[in-house]
Order: sequence, then C-alpha cells, then structure tokens
Amino acid sequence: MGSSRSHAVAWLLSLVGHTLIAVLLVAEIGFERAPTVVEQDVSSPIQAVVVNAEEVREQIQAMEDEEQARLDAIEAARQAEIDEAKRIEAERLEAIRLEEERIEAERLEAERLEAERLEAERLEAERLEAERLEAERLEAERLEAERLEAERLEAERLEAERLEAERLEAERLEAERLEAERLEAERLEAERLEAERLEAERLEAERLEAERLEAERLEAERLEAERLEAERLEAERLEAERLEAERLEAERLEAERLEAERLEAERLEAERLEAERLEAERLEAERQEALRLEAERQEALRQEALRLEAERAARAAEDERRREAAELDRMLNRWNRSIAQRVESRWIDPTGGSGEVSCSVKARQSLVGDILFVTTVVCVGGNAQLERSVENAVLKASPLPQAPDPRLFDPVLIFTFNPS
Amino acid sequence: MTGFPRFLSCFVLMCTLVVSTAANAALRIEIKGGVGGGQPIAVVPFGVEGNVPEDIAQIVASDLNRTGKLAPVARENMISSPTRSEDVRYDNWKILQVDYLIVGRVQQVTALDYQVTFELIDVFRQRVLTSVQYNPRQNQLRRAAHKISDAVVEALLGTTGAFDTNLVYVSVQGDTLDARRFELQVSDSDGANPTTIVSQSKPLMSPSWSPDGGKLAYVSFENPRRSAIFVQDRYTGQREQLASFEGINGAPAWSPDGEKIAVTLSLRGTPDLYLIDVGSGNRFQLTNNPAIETEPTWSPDGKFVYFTSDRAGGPQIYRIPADGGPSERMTFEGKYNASPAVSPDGKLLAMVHQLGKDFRIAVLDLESNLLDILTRGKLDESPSFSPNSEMIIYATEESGRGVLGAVSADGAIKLNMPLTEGDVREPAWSPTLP
Repeated sequence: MGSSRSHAVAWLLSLVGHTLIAVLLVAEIGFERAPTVVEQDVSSPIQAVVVNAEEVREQIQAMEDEEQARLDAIEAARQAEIDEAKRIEAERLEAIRLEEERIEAERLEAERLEAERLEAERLEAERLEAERLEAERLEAERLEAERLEAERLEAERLEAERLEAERLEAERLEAERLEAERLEAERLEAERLEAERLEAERLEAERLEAERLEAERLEAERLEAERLEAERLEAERLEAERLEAERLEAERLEAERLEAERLEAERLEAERLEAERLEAERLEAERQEALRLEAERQEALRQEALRLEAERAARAAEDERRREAAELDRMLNRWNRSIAQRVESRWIDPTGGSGEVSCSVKARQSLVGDILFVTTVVCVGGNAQLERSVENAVLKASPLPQAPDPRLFDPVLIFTFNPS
Repeated sequence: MTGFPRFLSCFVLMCTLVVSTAANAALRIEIKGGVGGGQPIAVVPFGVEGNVPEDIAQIVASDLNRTGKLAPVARENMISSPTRSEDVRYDNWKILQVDYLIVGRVQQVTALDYQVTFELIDVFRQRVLTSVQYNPRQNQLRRAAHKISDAVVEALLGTTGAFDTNLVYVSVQGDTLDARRFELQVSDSDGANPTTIVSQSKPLMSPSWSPDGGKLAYVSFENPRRSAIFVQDRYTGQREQLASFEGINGAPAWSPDGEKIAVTLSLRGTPDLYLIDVGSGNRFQLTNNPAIETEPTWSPDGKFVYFTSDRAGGPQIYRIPADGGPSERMTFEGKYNASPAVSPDGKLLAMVHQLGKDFRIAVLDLESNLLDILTRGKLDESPSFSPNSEMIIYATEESGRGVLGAVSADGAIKLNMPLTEGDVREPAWSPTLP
C-alpha cells in the first residue's frame, strides 16, 4: 500500500519535472535553431524568452539528480520490501516446516507412546492371560485330584459291598445245600418203603396170571380139534363140484369149433369174388391211363416247338441288346478316358509320381460337364498339399467332355488318383 | 509294386466302394499319373505408394521358384493386377490355370518406414488362405519379401520356409597374389545383399554361426606366425580372440546351446578336437588320437560331436559323445568321407564323398544308413543345411571359379546361387533369425 502511494507521488513529480524540461527544451532548441528557423520562415514574428541556458541546465541537472536519487531510494525501498517479503516467506516456510516437524515429532512421539502403551497393554494382557491360564491349570489339577480321590473312594465302597454280598450269598447257598440233603434222605426212605410194597403186589399178580394162562391153553386145544374136522368135510364137497364143471366145459368147446369152421368157408368164398372184380377194374384203368399219356405227349411236343421258337426270338433280341450295350460301353470307356486325360493333363503331382499315394475324390457335374463340387474322400500317403492338388486337377478340368449319350450321364464322379 | 502301395490301393478301393454304395451310382475314373513341375502360382506386382526401392513380388516369385514345388507364372501372362483380394476377378486366373494368387501392397509410411501387406488366395475355392502385414524399415524390405515367401511355403507346402535367413561365406577377390583380398561376406539366403564384415589380405577360413545367428566364429591368419579363432558380433563388428595356440587353430563349430565352441588344436602335435567354453575360455580335450581329428560339428541335440578322422587310413566320419567317451565310426561306404554336417532335424548327415575322381555332396540317412549322392560336380565341398533341413548349400566350381550351389536334401532340386564376383568358398547357412 505504502509502495503504491509513493509510486503515485513519484509519477506526479516526474510528470511535473518532464513538463518543465519540455518547456525549457523548446525554448532552448528554439534559441539554438533560431538562425535556421529564421531562414525558413522570416515573415513570422519570433517571441523571444530570455533565459540563462546554463542556469536552466543546472537546475534541470539538479532536478534530474534529485529525481534519480529519489528513484534510487524508491528502488532500494522496493528491493528492501522484496527482501523483506522473501524473508517473511522464508520465515513462514521455516515456521511451517518447524511446525510440521513439531507435529511430525509429536505424531511420532504419540505413536511411540501409543506403541509403548499398546506394548505395555499387550504385555499386561499376556501376563494376565498367563496368570489366568496358570490358575485354570491349577484349578483343573485340583479338580482332577478330587475327581480321582472320589473315584478311588467309590471303588473301595463298591468293593466292600461286593465282598459282603458274596459272603451273604455263600451262607445262603450253604443253608440251601443242608436243607436239600435232609429232604433227599427223607425222599430216599419213602421210596424204599414204596418199593417193598410194590414187590409184594407184583408177586401176587404173577401167581394169578399163571393160573389164568393154564385155563386158556386147555380151552384152545379143544377148539382146534373141532376146526380140523370141519375142514375135512368141506374138502370132500368141493372135489365133487369140480369134476361136474369139467364135463360141461368140454361139451361147450366142441360146439364152438364146428361153428367156426362154417364161418371160415363162407369168408373165403367172398374174398375170391372180390378179387375177380378188382382185377377187372384194374385192367380198365390201365387202358384209360395209356390213352391219357399219349395225349399228353402230343401236347408236350407242341409246347416244345413253341418254346424253341420263342427262344430263337429271345436270342435274337438279346443279341441286339448286347450289341447296343457293347456300343454304349465303348462310348462310356471313351468318355471316361477323355475325362481322365483332361484331369491327368492338369494334375501336378506334388510327390513327383513317387507312387506311394492313393487318393479318391468325389465330384458332382452338371449336364454340360461343369464341375459343381469337389471333395476328397480319402487320401493315403499324402498331405493337405496333395489333397489340394488332386481337387484342383478336377476343378481345372471343368468343363468336362459331355456324355456322348444321355443314358451314360452320371452327376456323381469318383476320381481315383493312383499313380503307378 | 511293393506291398505297401498295394495295401493302400485296397484301402482306397474299399473306401471308394463304401462311398459309391452311398452315392447309388457314380462314374468311376482312374487317374494314373499327373504332369511334373510346380503348382502354378501368380505373384501379382504389389501396389506401390511412395518411393519403394524393391520389387517385392519379384523377390517372392524368385524365392518360390527355388522351392521347385511352386511355379510362379510370368508377369506378362497376367491379365490383371489386383492388389487386394476384393479386386480379384477369379475367372481371369482360372483361365490361366493358376492354383494360387499372391496380391499385396507396399506403402511408404515415413521416409524410412514401410508397410507391406499381402494375401495368399486359393483361386478355385475363392478363399484367402493367409494374410499378413509387416512394418519394415527401408533396409528390411527384402527381408519382408522373404518373410512372405516363408509364410506362403508354410501355407502351401506345409513345411517351414528358410528364405528369411542368411548365408556367410569366404570370398577371395583379386587375380594376383599381391592384390588378393579375403572377405567374410553375409548375404540373404538368395545371395542378394552381400555385406562384407571382414576384409583382409591374409586368409580367412571356416565361418560358423552362433545358434542365435548374432555372432560368427572364424579362423584368421592375420597374426604373424599363428592362426587364430575369432568370435565376432555380426552387427557391431566387435570381436574377441577365442584361441591362438602354437600350431593349428581351426574349424570352430558352435554348440546348439551357444555355450561352447568345438575347435581343432594341435597342442600335442597332431590335431585333436577340443571344446572351449565361450564364457570362461576353459578348454576340454575331446579326442586324443595320433591320427588327424578335425572338422567338428554338433548333433542338433548337442549330445554328439561329429568329426573327420583318418585313424582308419583314409578320412571317414566319426562321432563322439560331447562329454567324452568312445567314438563311433559313422561312414563305411567309399574311401573318402569328410566335412560332416548334421541336419537340424537330426535325420541326415551331409558330407563330401569321393566317387571315382570326383568329390560330391552326399547324405547319409541316420536311420536307414543309406547313402544318397546328391550332386554331380567335380569338386563340391563344405555342405551346410538350411535351418528347415530341406536344402543344402555347398561350394562348387564353375569354369574354374568357386561358386555356391544349393541342392534339396532329396536331390530333386539343384540351383546355382547368383553371387558376386570372386572365388567363393566355405558357405554356412544361418540358423532361423529372430
């Protein structure tokens, strides 16, 4: 602000100064150039201003020096201002840098403190954790010892109970055994008494049985004697009846034989008459057959004659057909060969005829022999180059020679490339 | 006819019968043979936006032609030049009897950045088989073309391509002894872009790739009185001396894990094989035989080192477990078999085989033990397999000058590599590059 105001003052002062100088200079130049001006325009009046040129120059010089000194002062002040500004800026930057350093230091200190705090906390936490773990471990050991002691006491108690139970069981078993022995002795005594009683009963029963059997035997002998007498009487009666029956049978057989002889004689007579009739019939049939065969033979001869005639005609037709077919075949061969030659002259065999290749190419042609489509079916011993060469040979041969007879035309062509 | 094809025929006949039953009637046509050559493919000139210094389609067509299994059609026969699949009029290509079509575009994005897009199209099925976009720098445009070739080979032939790889070889320039310069050159797999990475007046020999393709080991006679084996970063040129002992320092061969280099040293008088640990420089003597043991090369699993030895009189190929042990003779046919190279799939052993007075490249099938002589030159040497095991690069002579030849591992395809002037020797095919 101060510098702009001093600029304005300086500008005003310099303006005044320059105006003054201009006036003085005009006056001076006019003074110096007066003779020339007079020569150029003598008619116009000259208004002379009388001044001391030396004095004026000194004044001007003094003013200029003053001005220069003032300008130098202004320049010095400006430079000082710039230097001051630079210093202030440097100080500001230094202050900022220091502030930043301080902040950075504080941040680092804070970080260090934080880190230390965290480290302390971590160590404390670790220590607490270790203590907690130790306490837990001790508690666990104590609990484990208690548990083991309880288990041991329980085991002892159970063992005592088991021994007591075993002792009671042994006593009970002994009492039972003694009771059982006593009962067995009583049972044996009772059985012995019963056996004696049963033996006495058994002897009495045997005696009574022997008496009963003797009585039965005597009765049986009596009954047998009666049965034998009855059988003898029955046998005599049966023999008389058998003799009577034999006599009656002989009579019946004689009557039957006489009847059979009569029937046989009648049958033979009938057969003889039948045979005679059949012979007559056979002879008639033979005569008829002979007549029929003769007619048939005549018919066959006629048919054979007709057949031979037909065959002759067919042979002639067949010959004609063969001639035609042979002609077609010749045409087909010529056509086939001319197609082959056309393709052969265009096939550039990349193997140079090494002979170890065999390719089959299928093509389709139009009625006028234009090749419409080519594809390799199989190509053994070759590669893509060989395949392209055989396909190109067929493509380049288009249009093929036309079929000499429409019956020979075939849209599908199979080319076998088989260099020998 | 052997039993196997007869069985095949029966099988196909059965399948055909099944089909014909399903199809009711069908005309059956037997194709007894085809025509030779590759599958026709059209590599249409790529659409170009901006300044494009390479003809991508031309590089791809040239790569594909070298497979022997694909036959790029001449540009002048093409009826139209589509640059994307939507613009393809299939009838145009069917008339040309072209099986496949490659269309694409190259666009200059910034001064040195490009965008290359291609589509591989099946003409008769009217289908895009593969479509890829690359973003090469200007000096990688050829590489992008080789990547396209690899992608096409993979899609059409079902094998991994090896066009995006490099060759290293020794080239001798100058006719007189005084003007002679030995150069180690790295080129693209098609011989283009040769870059000299070492050039000196003293001999250079036996370059060998590190398994990641980033470094080369070779023998140099630049030091007075002693040969030395160097390991050099192919990109930065930074190099270290691996060995320089009294006598022979030769034939470095990098192990598949990149940790060791097998070399030939003559520390005890006669040449023997040693393994040098690349990290520590420690060495381990692998063979100890009064005969000459040299030209080590590794089996792809790193378990064996194959080498040439004359312990039986003439040079023959042997192998020894890489951690030592008894060695085992591998070649028995002929009196001279040397310079072994095992195919990366581990199935074949390539070598130089003497037939009469001629030295030719042969391969031994390691499973059946059958030897197959692949080349017809008088002095063919230094066979080296492509990383897909399909091709072998070797040095041969053409009108008295050393050139590079390439032959397929089955002998069906033979090419001469169009290389720069000079006498070219000892080629080595790089592994697959990252």
